[in-house]
Amino acid sequence: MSHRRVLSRGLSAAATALAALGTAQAGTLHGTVSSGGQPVAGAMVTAIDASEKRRDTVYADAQGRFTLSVDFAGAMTVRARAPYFRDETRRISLGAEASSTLAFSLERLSVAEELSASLPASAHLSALAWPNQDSRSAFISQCNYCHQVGNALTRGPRDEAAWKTTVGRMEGYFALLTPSQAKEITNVLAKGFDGKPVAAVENRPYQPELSHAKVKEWVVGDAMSFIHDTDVGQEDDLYGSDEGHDLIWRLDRHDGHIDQFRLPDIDLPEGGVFSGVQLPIGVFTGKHGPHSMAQAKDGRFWITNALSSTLASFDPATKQFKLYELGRTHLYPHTVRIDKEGIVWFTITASNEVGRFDPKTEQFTAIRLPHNGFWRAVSDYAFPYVLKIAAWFPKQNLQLAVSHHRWADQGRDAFAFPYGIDVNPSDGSIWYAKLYAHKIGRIDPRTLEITEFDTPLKGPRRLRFDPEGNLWIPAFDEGGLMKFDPRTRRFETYKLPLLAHNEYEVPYALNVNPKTGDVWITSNMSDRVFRFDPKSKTFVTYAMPTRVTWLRDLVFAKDGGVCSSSSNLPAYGIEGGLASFVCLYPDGEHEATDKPATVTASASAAPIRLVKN
Amino acid sequence: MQTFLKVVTIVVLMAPLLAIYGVPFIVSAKLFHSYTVLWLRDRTRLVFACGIASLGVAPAFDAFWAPKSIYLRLFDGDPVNPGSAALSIAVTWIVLTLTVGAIVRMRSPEHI
Repeated sequence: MSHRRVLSRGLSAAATALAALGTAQAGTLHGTVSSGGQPVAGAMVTAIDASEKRRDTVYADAQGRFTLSVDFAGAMTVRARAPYFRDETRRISLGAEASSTLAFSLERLSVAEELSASLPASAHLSALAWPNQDSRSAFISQCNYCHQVGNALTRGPRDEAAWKTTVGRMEGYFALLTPSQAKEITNVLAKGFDGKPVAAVENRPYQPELSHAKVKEWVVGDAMSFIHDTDVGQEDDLYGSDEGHDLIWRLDRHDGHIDQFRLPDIDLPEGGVFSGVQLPIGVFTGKHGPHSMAQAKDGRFWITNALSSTLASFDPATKQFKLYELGRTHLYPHTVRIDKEGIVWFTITASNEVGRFDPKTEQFTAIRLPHNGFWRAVSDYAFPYVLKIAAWFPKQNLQLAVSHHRWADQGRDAFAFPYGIDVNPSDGSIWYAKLYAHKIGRIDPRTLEITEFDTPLKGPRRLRFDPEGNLWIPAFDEGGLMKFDPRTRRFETYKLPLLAHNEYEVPYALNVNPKTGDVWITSNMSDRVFRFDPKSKTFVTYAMPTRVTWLRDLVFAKDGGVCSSSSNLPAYGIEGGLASFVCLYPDGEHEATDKPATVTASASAAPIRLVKN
Repeated sequence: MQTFLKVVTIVVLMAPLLAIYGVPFIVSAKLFHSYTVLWLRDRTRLVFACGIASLGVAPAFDAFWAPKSIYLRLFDGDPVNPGSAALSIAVTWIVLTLTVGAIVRMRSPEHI
């Protein structure tokens, strides 16, 4: 760490300490969560600081006991939350190094409206009656692309005209629907979200692994922030790319200090190359759209700027950015990874390419991927020019008037959308997923030869390799997990555990813990995170304490945290109305010291009733 | 004004597709033009033939200003405003007549 940075950190830490009577000084809360004398296993106990910018959560064990080491001192709210029970909150004051005992006695929800309101988006979606599989799968793929549908913000009853306006607005935000799919989705939402409570029955078995875990959340930005991806830096800080505001956020998790760094201006209008598109108002106010990032060995982050068709480097030591123009026909640079040679590889989603950038020579190569059909080839060749013409009419969505995804009834099939990308640790080959073409592909890093494979499940999104060279792929459209062995070229598939048979999940991203080999997967429709053990082929499910948790890339911090950004779009749809950095510590923050007693029995926080609306 | 320019741009970009949508009417117009050679004057035949073609080519727009032939929108059960449809057919008729007329004049012996 540079001297300047040390000094800066010291000053900011001192200021924070003065303002908040000390941070990172753990007081401890002990206690129990019960209902009617019975323990509520798996209940989440959350300490929320007075400014509501920090939240620490643990899970009650099988006996309903919890121990929460709180990072902040002073006045705070402590909340106990469990499915099918009313939240119970206490306002307390906890000094640094102090200890307090709390006994929560939860009241079971009995009013249908309250019970319904406590359920996640996935439960509310089960109330929708789809006329056919085509419109349902289009809805899953396109309407959950950036956010939940079915949460408190999005399930309010509206008439068909209002839903038509909403669906039309979403088409402007790149929901690729055919006219008939848009019509059917409008109709289904208008009928299904009628304001009546849903009576879902969800199976939430208690898993003893929860009693070791802790979740920490740091609120970042405002109601319009869109922190797309998170990466962990060499100093274990978290960095987040705010795609809407052209900002990079940095969080020091030890003192809670947050910095922001603004990308340099560029000679482009608001919205960048996509200025003809009406992007979400208030959220997208920038020109670059920093999307993803990866840190190189020299400490520089490489950032894909989706809207400006540029690649940026950011040096955390000097806080300097440098921009590299890719050319404005290379549309939407997306996920970025760096190989062992230091070459920067990234998908370029909307023009069906993979980019290769050599930081030493500063040479960029665009690798054109197979078109995968006539209409996708039309997109690959025509879309850059359509966007150029659309830019003559800022934010008027001209592209929707001329795009063949509508007039040729192609919907999302009009694009291939190369999305996630990763480097095979075994041979250095580059692998990508095509979200809409349902393929994965391999690029030979020397010859740039491309080989593609069909995936058994649809919607391969952000894939990752494990240390043995197996490729793990989330299947967004089908709520699944795929494992691909590049040596045998064989797939294995797994279905993610659902809360009810008629719910679904949209796993956006996953990552493989390099130490344990566990695969961590986002759920995104039910406010949960999954951990898959490849040896036992079993899932552990972690309920997340904040409603409307929509996570993207998962990264592993050195302190054991599995971290991401809560980036539901818009942030004001998230409970509390703000985005956050989130870290889940499956074995607790401090090894073994704050673990509850050994679990001897299991119970369930949720009643299991077999009633369905 | 910007909306007008946008719609003109869209129609120009989508003209080939509108022509494809209009093929049945364009073929009918061509047949009409051929079979009435003995009964109608050239100018009259041209005007009526362009009128027939415009019935198949004239666009109706959706909420995104995406053009589609009026007859296809009616066929699909989409709402079509009668006034807008009449205006679209009239404008298309005039544009087609002027364009085809200009092409015919350019191909006539006096121009060669």
